[in-house]
Amino acid sequence: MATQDSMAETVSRAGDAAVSGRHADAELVVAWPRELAGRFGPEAGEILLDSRRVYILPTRAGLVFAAAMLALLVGAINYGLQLGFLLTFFVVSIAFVAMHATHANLAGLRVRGAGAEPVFCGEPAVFRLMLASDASRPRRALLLAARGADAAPAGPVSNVDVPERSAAEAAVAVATARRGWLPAPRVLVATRFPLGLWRAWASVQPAQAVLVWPRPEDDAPPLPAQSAGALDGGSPGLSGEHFAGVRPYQSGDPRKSIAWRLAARNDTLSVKLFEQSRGGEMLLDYAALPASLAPEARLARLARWVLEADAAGLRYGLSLPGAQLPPAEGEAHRRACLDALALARV
Amino acid sequence: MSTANSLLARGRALLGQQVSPAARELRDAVWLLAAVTLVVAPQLPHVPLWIALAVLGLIGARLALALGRRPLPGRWLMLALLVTVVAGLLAQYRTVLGREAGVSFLLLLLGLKLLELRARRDIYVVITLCFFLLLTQFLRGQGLDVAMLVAVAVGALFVVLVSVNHGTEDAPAAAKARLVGSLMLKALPLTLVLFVLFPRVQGPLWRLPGGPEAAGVTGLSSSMSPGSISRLIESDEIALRASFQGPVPPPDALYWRGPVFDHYDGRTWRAAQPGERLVPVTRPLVEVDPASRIDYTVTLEPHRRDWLFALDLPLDLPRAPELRARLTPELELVSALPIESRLRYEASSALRYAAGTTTPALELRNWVELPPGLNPRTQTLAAQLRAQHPPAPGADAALVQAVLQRFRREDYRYTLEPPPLGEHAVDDFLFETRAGYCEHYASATAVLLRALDIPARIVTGYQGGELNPTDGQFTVRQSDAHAWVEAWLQGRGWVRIDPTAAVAPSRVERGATRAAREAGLLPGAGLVVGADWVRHLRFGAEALQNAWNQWVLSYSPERQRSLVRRLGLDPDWHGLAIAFAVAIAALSLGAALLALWRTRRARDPLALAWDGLRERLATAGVDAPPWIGPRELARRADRSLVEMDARTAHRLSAEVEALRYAPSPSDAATRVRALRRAVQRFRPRPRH
Repeated sequence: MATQDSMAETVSRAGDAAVSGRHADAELVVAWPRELAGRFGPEAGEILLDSRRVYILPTRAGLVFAAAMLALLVGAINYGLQLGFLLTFFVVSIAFVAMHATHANLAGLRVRGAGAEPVFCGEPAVFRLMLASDASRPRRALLLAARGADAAPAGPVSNVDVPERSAAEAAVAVATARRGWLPAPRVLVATRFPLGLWRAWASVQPAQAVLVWPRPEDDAPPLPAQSAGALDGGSPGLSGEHFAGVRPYQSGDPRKSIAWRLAARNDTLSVKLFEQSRGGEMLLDYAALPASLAPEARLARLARWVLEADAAGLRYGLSLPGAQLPPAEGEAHRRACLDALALARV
Repeated sequence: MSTANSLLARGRALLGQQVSPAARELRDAVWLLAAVTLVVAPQLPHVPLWIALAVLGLIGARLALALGRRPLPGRWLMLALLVTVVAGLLAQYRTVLGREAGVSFLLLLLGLKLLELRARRDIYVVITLCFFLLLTQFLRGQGLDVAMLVAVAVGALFVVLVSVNHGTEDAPAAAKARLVGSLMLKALPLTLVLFVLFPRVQGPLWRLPGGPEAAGVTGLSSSMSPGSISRLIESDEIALRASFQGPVPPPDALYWRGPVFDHYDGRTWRAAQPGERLVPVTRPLVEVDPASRIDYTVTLEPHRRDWLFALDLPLDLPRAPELRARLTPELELVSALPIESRLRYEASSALRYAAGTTTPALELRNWVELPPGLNPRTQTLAAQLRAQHPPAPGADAALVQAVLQRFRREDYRYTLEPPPLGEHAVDDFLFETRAGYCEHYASATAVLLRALDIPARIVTGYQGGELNPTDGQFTVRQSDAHAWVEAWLQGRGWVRIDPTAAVAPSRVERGATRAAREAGLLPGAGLVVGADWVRHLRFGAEALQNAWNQWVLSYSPERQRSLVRRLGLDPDWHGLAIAFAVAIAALSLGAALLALWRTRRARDPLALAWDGLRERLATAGVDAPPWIGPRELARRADRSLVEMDARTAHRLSAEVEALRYAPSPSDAATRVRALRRAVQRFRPRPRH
């Protein structure tokens, strides 16, 4: 959880810093024929942004700049200023060289998906990308954002520098609207460095996905009462945390409960007994929820209950259509339950 | 205390690596203001004081707002400022267009835009405005110094752009400057190609507003009144350059003939309008001494008038492309159009000549006209002189000599600051003040001669000049401006009479500036005389300036055509296009090769040696994919190579392993080089 929070923070900070606001974001992308941009599907492993997939066009500032240069040229012609010609051509040449610099700032970059933490539906999913560079000069001001359906950035823009012959991590956030697997979005990697007159961009889609958990219900009813049958008056059971003794094996006892070391010393089989640390045991059952509740709403309530039960340190099991999780506790169990909720087929 | 701390923090923010967005914004603003100051500073001395102060004030205000992190002024305040500025400009110039007003308007607009620096886009607007201002700087001068200054300003503007485009991480200013320097260096070849091959067209696309006075061009004017030439003496600006094919003529022959004035109104001499003449003037008969002919090339600085200069007396019309020159009846050389840009022409002159010997007496009456009722004492003096020289052949020449004798013998002074003259200017000068500069002497002589009924007129131009020993160019400055008299004498025609030479012979022998300095008329006497190294330095600088003029500033359509012709192409747009395409292709190829060489050089030499070894073994049939290590490679070599080569492969692989994985030895670089050589020589043979 902690990593995820800090990631989200990184992204939002980067987004803020990405040269002030909407104007810059809109400049990140230009509308481009979908089929051309979508030429490459999701790609596994490291993706090299070679020259063939780096596009470059002037920015709006670049077009205005070009118009100004034209005016400058007309002035030089009209007043017969040879130095005016020299100035105009010098500046135009610098802008032209900057085009190559902008292209080179992006071309040759290697991008690899670096994983993502599961999130609750509604929270932004943060995909990490590892950007590696062999270039002998740093790649500066690389802008990354998820590409939405309308070819506009669908999330904050993060702004990353990759030092020379090194790597840097970037994060791309996308909104989540549905539980289940969310494939990594097509990511636009763009740059305007060094002069902002040109914008080079490439789009990549690393083959990775993040699991989106159902959004926990906001005003869920309290946890259901702990089921008496499952508790058995606090007597030690076969699962738990604290060792509470042994009893003779009865047929039907699970094999992993057998105390093999003991069995090696005498002829009878024994099983180990454990005690619960505190509280009781409960089963969170999808089928037990009122039928009037929509399936997704039921999953939302179960998600909330999983979180509450976990926070209360209870042992809980989860019963879903097509998935049964026996009562247990702890971080791994919580995640297993949430994963099951995310993937439940209802 | 807290102020000091916050200032310190801001200082660190200006230098530091990781800075907050707010600190970056401040730093970018400060950089931008510095670059803008660099751009506007050379303009400020040439605009009215209030505009210069307003621009500086706006820059200062923006700096204060940035440092104090105060909000920028609102829309209404900006509108009010804009209205004020435009009103001020209209009051000053009656227009916001035109050259001078346009520059002032640009300056103020730039200053105002600084107060509106909110978004990234505004920075681009400011920088674009700066480029226009840099262009206007060339209207005033296109010297090498101006070019250097502008190059620095361009660099500063691009550093600002680079800074603005940095991401969340920042780089030190030196790194940004290096980046811009590298961009500028790489842009130079393309700049050169564009400059040389971009098609040039002659002449302005539209007429330029304002005359020479409006543009602040110094030079001779179309009239002469007391003070009009002496104001030029302090100008060191170059009027023209000449390179002589033979030896440079002696100083007293170096009269560069310019506009001729024959109409006098009691104060000012100017050319007579056609209606003001008694008789139409015809072209005089000119006879020359062929032995005195000299040929030379003149490079004339633009003076925005139509006259050309040639040594007295021009023989042929100057030869230069697209120059339609003619010789007027007064023997002035004029061009069909004002000289708007530096002009180079070939000229020839005869130093000994007789002009107008056959001019009819009726026509000569044009040059004895004087305004009635003025200068009575001069008239009396003329009558006395006439009485001393009764009409006879040669009497006029004797009278001229008498007039010059008067200047020579009596107490006349040559000064830059003559006392003011009254209504009877020539009377006052001849009898009262007795002090003046060349225009006073020329004017008085012409009036006196006309009073003597001798036809006379004023010729203005330049006298003398200076030879630059560095490049052999002869340089004539505005300070060499001069005025003399031509008198018509029976049998000799128009004769040059220089009364200034009678008063101050050194003026003609050694040039105006030096004469003035030696006479203590100009400051700096004794500083320049004798300081030879200063002169040498100046000669060197001027030779450089002249090369700049010849190769950069005089790059005319004609020169472009001749260059394209020399490349063996048709001198039209076709040839230009071909030359351009070839040049661009060559540049691209060069850039590509450079990039390739760089990537090869950037690769680890040991990795190159390793790849080479694998390639060599692969040609001998060893399966050597990139992912195997040196030992595995050696094992595979064992299986497929003849024994001797297998041993070599072992040795080379072991060397790669040692260099790559063992602690780096001190002679690693030499060993890597030796390894690469050994790999290059290695010719493994497969076992059969």
